[in-house]
Amino acid sequence: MRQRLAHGGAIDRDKPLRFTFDDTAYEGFAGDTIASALLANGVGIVGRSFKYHRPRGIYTAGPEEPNAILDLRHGARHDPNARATLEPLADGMALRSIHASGTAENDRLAFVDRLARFIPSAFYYKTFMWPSWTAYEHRIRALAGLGRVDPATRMDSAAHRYAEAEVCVVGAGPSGLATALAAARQGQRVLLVEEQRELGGSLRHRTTVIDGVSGAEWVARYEIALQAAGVQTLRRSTALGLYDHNVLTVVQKDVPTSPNGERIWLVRANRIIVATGAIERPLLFANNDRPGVMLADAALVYLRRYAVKLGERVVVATNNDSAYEIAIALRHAGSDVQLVDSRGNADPALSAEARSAGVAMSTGTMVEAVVGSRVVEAVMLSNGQRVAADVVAHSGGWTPSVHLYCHAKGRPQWDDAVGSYRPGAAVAGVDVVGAAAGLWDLDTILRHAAEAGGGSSEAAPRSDSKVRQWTAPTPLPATGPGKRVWVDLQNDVTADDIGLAVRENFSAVEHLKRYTTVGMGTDQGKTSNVNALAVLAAGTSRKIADLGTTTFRPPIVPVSMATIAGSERGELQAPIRRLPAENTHRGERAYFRDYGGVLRPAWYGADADAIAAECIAARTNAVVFDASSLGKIDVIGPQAAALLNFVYYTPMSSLAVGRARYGLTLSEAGIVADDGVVLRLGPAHFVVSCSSSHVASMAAALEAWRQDRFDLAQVFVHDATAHWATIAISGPKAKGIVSGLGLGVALDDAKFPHMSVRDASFGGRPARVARVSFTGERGYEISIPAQLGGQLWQRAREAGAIPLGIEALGALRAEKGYLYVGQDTDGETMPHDLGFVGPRTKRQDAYVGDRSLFTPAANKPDRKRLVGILVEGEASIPIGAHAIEHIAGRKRSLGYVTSSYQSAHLGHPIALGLIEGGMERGTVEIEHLGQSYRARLVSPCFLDPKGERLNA
Amino acid sequence: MLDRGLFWSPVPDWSHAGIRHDGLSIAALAPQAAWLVSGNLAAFLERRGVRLGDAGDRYALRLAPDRLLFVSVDGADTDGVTFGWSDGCAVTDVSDGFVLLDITGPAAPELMRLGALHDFETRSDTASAAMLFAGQRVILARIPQGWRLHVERPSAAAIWQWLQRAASEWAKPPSDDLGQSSTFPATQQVAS
Repeated sequence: MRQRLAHGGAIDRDKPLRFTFDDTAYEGFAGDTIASALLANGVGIVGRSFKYHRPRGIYTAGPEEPNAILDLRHGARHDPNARATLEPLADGMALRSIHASGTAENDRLAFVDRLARFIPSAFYYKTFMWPSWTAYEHRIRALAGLGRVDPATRMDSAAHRYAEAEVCVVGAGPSGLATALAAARQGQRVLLVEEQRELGGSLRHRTTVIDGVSGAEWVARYEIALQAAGVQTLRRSTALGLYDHNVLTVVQKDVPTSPNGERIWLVRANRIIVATGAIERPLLFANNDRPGVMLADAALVYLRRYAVKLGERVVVATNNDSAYEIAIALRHAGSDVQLVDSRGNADPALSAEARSAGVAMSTGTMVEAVVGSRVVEAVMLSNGQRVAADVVAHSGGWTPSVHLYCHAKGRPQWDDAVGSYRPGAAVAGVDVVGAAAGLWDLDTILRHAAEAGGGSSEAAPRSDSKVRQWTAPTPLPATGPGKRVWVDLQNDVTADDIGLAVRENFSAVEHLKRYTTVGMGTDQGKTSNVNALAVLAAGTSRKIADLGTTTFRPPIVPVSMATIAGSERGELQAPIRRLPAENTHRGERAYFRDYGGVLRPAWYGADADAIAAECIAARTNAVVFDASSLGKIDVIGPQAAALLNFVYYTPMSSLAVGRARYGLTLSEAGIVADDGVVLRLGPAHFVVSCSSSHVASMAAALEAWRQDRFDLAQVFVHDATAHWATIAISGPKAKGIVSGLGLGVALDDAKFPHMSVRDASFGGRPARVARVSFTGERGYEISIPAQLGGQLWQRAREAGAIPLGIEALGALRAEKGYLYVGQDTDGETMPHDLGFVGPRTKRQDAYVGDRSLFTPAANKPDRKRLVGILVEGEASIPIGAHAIEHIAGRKRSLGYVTSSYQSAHLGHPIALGLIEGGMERGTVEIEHLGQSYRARLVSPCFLDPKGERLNA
Repeated sequence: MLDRGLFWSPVPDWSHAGIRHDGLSIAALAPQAAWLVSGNLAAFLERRGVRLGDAGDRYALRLAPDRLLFVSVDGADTDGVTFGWSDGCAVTDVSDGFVLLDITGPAAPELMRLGALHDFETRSDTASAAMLFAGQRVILARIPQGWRLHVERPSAAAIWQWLQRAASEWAKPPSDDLGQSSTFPATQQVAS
């Protein structure tokens, strides 16, 4: 019978905490974990297994727990996969088992276990093949998985927290503490990361003497010394992964400033000290998954830290020395203890110590099977003896936690003598200390750790602990009919499953993992990996050292997606850039949309009917449009013209001062990358006005080519886009409106022709006016300092200009056949496909993309070319509809529609498209989702081909 | 499609924007002058009588080996500039391109460490002041009792919103063992 002892443990018996598990009320104490409170209340079955729905109990006392994963609700908090072994108990917690249908105690799916021999590993993939796996998948997946997310309890997490340190120590056991203090005393900035609430690791439940005092006392002294030395400590914080440049990710729990109580830390340290200790390895015997079977060290944790007496008759099974202390402690707590040591040559001194404490000893024999299904009733030993028992605490040795070392590309090495992996060659910037390094003798550990911290071994703490055998190769289980030996508890993988995989030739370790799922799941094989390797090696007559390991990947423990997202939720997930006059547009009742990473007015007014009216206004009156996000990249210096000439397909060095030129840029592959207008303000001063969504890439391209082949002292690139607001005024009445704005510019067309630029002023500050047009009408683009954007907009409105949104602009430019690069071009479009043939045939000098324009592919006559599309009928065709031809009864695409509008000015639909062979094709059939259209291919310019409206 | 103007919060009025919380003050200001300067930086700095890393209402922050941002908060000493090319320097006016956000107070160090993986205390003067903060491009400077972020105007609203959340929720004074630093060593320190 399990019970709480009257004395001892790090719990506060004056502070009772109430909680429920599967709707039954229980009581624990402050200082308990959920697991210790459940054990103290005698709760044996905490969940059901993943596949067979076998009853399962608490198996460990740490992050490696495969069974005790519970649905936790506490106030507003909901964690569908709380690990009972790590989660501190709090008053009012409501816990529920996750795999059970009903309760863990009474699971309606428990019958599945009786079908076990019909559903071995890979059963699902082999069986559910007709008509296809997908026909069954959703039902099978509904049975699988862990806890269920409840959308009603969605919680945000805090922003990630960053930290820099010279030394970051992961793990505050004896080795971590010794390293941290040694490093701090060397004057290093040290950050210490510890998963538990308290420091000390194994010293908190193991009996040790360091520097003449007990381990617990030594930890208390070190805590004070660490604080005095300025060491920062993060408790309840688990390292998740180690990345390039020694960046360590950590998840911290119990964070009061985070809505979900968690946050991610990113720590960059010159040195990472991996002091993560070792995880106890299970022994393999039949029914080793029964509730009441747990790892030996966990039994000691529950006894010493939480004062839980686990049972009356305990069998402690081991293959090493580490379990002797446990057997003796359990005996002292009043249980009958039988120690079963598989070794024939157990340490005589230890055996004598155990015997004198009243522990019954069996050596040279192993536990072969557990008797009992919902509780442990007895164990069968390999010598045929039956031992009555209610708890089995077992230790198959220890596995160093080398995860972080492996994340840093460290290669673990197999050590046959102790039957485990340990770190191999050193990794720069990463030191592994303590049990994680495969060291077991405490005195050696402390000395090695102090040296790793930069201290001298003479000053290191000393322990008189005797060298003992902590770990040994796992003895293999006896197999046979009815003997189901669990290797991976979380994924329900047995030794027989591994045998089956081997027989089916999935005998490489990575194949074995995929085939059987051993080592997967949220515990990532922390307790199963080495045993799986041992079984695999035996089954294939190979050595474990020759098998290799599967890859250790972050995160080491599961983390909720909300915590990973941190502050990046809602508006902060992918922030958008704003126009300087945004609030003025809000005042105009603009309807906003996201365009290429900028929030811009789509139209003005409540509904999209406004678009047609805005289009008409642009053709008959005057409109004002906010073009502030267009690029304004200064290219300055004596070689500015040469740089632009090289980057642009359209020659720019011949551009006169005060003039503007439309041009295309290409990628090295000759593909159109951007179009825009280049202004020349002075002999050595140009402004690149590229499209809004290409500002960053254009600035980067100019800078890259500058650094690649120009004199670095003779040309410079400055992105000044953010400094300017650009207000475009366009339409037959534009000139009158602009003349009333007081810009100090003579608007006489002879002195200020189309495609030219003039200095101006507005509000007492420098401004400039460019005569360019994206509507086909007379147009003025006025750039003023950003803070004056709203003011100029208001002045233009007062002068009679009508606001124009992007949607109307899109229709207006399509009427003129002006293209949107990226919409009316694709990843194959070259300038001659758009009709820009001049530079390709005439330019002799080098420019980006030049040679690519003359490859056989670039010369093919059936390249897709930009065309205008006039569809017969009233309806406009959808963007993306394909032009098709019929060859031998099959359809083939000739290209597709890239832009499509109902033209308010022309009174019929218009479209642009990329079509093989271009407009020479005449008419085409266009098809979209079963609907067919006849269309005529024409020049992309539907309006004013001579450009007379530009000066109208 | 939804009106995205409803999803995105309006841009603050920068002339009145401010955040105050326990131990934290964030104020926005617009500089009278800010210029991007490339080329012969030594000559430029000498002409302007400013040294990199100097504090004051006029200061220069290095962005690249051959580029700096010159700022005059009050507009003093900005006469005689030629934008474009002159004396081996390229100078571009970006006065309206930046919003300056001053983050000060005892809780400022904790807030800064939510924004970037950066050694705010001990970075040297010679390093570039350009960095990512809260995912956005900023230029960083030290001011007495805190830091100044030079934020591009189009992304200032996003940083502002992040700062509001950080100040009210995430940057509460740290728990006992987070080792708060109260010292402010000089890193591209400027005064205001």
